[in-house]
Amino acid sequence: MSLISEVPQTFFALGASFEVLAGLTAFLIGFFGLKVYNYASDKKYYWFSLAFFFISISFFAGSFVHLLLYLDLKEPLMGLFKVIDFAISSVYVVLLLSAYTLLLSVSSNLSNKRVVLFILLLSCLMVFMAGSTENLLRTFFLLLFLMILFVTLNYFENFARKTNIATLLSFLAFVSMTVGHGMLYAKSLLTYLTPLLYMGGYFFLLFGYIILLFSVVRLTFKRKRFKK
Amino acid sequence: MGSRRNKLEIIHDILKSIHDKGGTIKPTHLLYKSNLSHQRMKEYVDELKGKQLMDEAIKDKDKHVFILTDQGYEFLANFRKLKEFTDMFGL
Repeated sequence: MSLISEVPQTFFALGASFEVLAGLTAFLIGFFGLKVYNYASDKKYYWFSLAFFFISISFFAGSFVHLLLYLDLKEPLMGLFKVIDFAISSVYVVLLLSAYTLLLSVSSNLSNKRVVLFILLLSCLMVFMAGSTENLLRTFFLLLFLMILFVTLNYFENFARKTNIATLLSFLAFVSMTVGHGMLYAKSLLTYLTPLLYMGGYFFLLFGYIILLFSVVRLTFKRKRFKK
Repeated sequence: MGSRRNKLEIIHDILKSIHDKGGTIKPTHLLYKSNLSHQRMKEYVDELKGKQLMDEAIKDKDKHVFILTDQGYEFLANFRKLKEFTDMFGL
């Protein structure tokens, strides 16, 4: 992936495995959200679910490119890889920005569709008009970091309002993801410590998704109360 | 004063009222138990019938009753999970 071209080769396999796990977790959350939407028909559940499906697709796409990078393709396949890389990177950026915008809107109870669309357009324009690949990377990671930071603040409020293990876990998961995104943003700024920040960033992101996975699995195996 | 119920909780309260009455309830009892206005209860009943979570039947000479369907029982069985999920993400 051109967005992460400065990352050492050895980390790509790790990145690919992480993204598959995170993608599956996001898919499970999206699926749960859709189940709630089918019962309650409230649009916020639909948007929440869509956000996690977008995250899931972007992770699977990212994993595919990471895997190709790990395989270190040579000519003549390299030309084809560059085309695939560009297409998937663009989809990755748009999907992740859309997902985080939706997540921010749902967690902030922002229901005005025009405002949500405006935030998304502004984010995409900022990224794609950034100029060089380096600037594109920095803007993209900064936007993700800021969005997830505000989502985390909303989840802190949610935890303070309803203090229980489920809200604590989701808050901690988003704290971990914020740290992860912060490290990935720092990686795009600095020329030194890059492997450490890349590894650290992905570790914290992975940890966040593991917490979410644990929470969803915990819910799935919860005992049913009613019997016919 | 309790917080305002969300849609999922209202659906749960309606279906649980039917469950608590043994799976069948009269419309007037449901109106009282669900703590909704007549108009809102009608909207919810139509929606829940559309989703096949409850149904309407005639019992003992033209008396209308609401009954809980299998999907309705399934919803009640899963409600705790759904509620915890929505709480978890502040939905």
